[in-house]
Amino acid sequence: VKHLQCITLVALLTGITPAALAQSATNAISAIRIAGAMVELEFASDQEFTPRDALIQLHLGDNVYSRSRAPLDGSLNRIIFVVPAQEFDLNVNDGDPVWIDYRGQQERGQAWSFGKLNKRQLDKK
Amino acid sequence: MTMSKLEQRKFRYWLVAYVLIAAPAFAQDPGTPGPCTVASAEYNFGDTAFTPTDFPGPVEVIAQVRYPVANATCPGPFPMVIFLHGRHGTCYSGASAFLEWPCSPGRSSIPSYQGYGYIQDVLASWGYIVASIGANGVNAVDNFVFDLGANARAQLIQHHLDRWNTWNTMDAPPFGALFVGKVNLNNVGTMGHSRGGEGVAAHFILNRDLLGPYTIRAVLPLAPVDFTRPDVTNVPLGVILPYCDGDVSDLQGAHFVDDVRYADGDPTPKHTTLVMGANHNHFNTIWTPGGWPAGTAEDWTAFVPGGTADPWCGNVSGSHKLPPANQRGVGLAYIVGFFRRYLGNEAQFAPLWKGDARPPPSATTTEIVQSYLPADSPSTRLDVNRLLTASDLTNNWLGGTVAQGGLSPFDLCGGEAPQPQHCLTQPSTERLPHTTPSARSDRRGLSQLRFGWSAAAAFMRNDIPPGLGDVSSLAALQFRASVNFEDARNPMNAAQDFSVTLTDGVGISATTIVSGSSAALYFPPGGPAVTPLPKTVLNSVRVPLARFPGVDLTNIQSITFNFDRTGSGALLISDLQFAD
Repeated sequence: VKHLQCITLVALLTGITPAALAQSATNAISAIRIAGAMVELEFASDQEFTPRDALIQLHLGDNVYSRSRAPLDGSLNRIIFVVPAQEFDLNVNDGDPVWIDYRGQQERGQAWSFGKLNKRQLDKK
Repeated sequence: MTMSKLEQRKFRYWLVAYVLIAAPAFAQDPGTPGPCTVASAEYNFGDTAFTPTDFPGPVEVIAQVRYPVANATCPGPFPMVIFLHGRHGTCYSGASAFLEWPCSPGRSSIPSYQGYGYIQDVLASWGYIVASIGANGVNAVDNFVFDLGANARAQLIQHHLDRWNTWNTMDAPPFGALFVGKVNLNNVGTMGHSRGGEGVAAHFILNRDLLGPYTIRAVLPLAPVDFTRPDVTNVPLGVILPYCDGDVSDLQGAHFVDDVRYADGDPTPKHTTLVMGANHNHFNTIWTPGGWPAGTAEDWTAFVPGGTADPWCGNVSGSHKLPPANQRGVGLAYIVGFFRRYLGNEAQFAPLWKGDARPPPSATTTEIVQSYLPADSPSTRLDVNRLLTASDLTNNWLGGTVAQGGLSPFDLCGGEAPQPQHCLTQPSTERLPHTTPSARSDRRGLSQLRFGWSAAAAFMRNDIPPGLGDVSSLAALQFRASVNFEDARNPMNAAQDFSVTLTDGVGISATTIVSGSSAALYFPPGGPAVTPLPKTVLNSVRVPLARFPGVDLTNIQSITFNFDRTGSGALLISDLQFAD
């Protein structure tokens, strides 16, 4: 139920249809970890993050981030975004909806939804 | 707004009729092979041979080369052309693609650099050395740097040119003395696809900032990104825009030309080529389904939800999507034609780039629309109204009065504030290439005059002050235009038309209609069920001055647009000028 509520919220915020946001049932935030002055957020999906020329970007609520890399094994089913730690602390809120899409193509209704952000997932070790 | 089959036929007939009636044919098709014997080579200095500064990973130095065999027919030295592919998967195993560099054990690299061999072959046959270079190392980590790899790509091109400089001056591996004295690095062209498109733009600037160790004489971004909005000036620039691009679907590469078209004193022309049925990937054979075991995609249908059903770009019967072989025909004709025009100085291809000639047979489609922005020189253009600021609505660039009647709105949009950022209120900027925002720049877009009419008496007139109206050395009156598909005054899926009148200093006038010279006032096709379509792209309307008989071209007094050919309509226009 919470997942559906989140999808509905994201849909309201973005105009993307809930059906489109929910198209992949196996999206997950794999890890949130500190890496120096940055926070790394790692995402997994059974829908590949295809390397394209358009710019892939992460939405954390109203905040958008586009610095990303593939995992070390090169898998297209995972992607890692980095967010400045201070930014993550101050501007990103627990419970913010989380999704990934391509810049300028939000209205296509093609996105990866990851539910709500749980900042307690941050591994500070 | 969906196009019926009949309406699609009407559009096709419109273009075909235009190119058959209005546009002259070529003396030669740029896509046909030339007289030189072509040889192939590949050089490979390893996957980690080069590390760009301020970049987090190593890059391979590898290239596929096609070159003319030096002989009596083709003695050399030969102009040099570098091709640079765009962002794509870097490694594969079986049918699975990966993004890493170098590739892990058990995986092999995806050779994106091999995807333009069909162009390299023909260009080399006309006496050009063409090296298509690999950039998988950039692709693997470019999203981790702010400029998304543009500078790294620029450095990579320069590194390859440095290698060619060595091969041109000394016996060095792997070519030995094969190219000594055979490479003309004062006559270099670059073509970059997608992120490679911004790469060749950034490279032009890098080479200039290094005080020009090589002379870049032509730059061609193909379906490019333009994240950082670099100004590429003082070099002929040709941007190819695929209307059915499912990846860089906002056609942001239009900015490359828009941003620099009024660079002061720039002695070089700018062009855009809108290919109505082309997608993003099929210019590269390695990215085309069937071309490689992994990583391929027909980007329009793969990346655009519902794209398959689009009447213009989809897979439905009667769609205008180009099959891969036809799209390669476009790439072949226009890329070879561009470098032969600007590296080879072959004036026979000038009409292709001005939009005065029909697409050559090798392009395999006539549905190509051209824009041309001439060099900043009295011999190539006379600006009448740049349509940049509010004052241009009452007084034009030459100081003449601008008058209008029956036009509403009559305002500027898309340019600098306080103009509205966009000219249309569309749900997606994928439909608005000239004003689509940039990922790494806050620059605004193309300033456009937005207007419409509801009665045939509507007009717009630009006066030309006495003494400034000598256009006798120029060839055409031109402007860029698009039908405003959002304005209901345009009949759905019907082309627009209006009359153009030139009046000279003694009051003699001549009138012609736009449709007699140009197909640019088509109703933008496709959509609206898919977000990228339809698109507003301003293409050149060129009206030959020969269509104004009896008027004294040494003393033009006014240009009048009379919107008397249709009962109503709405257009976006820019760049009113006389041109060569």
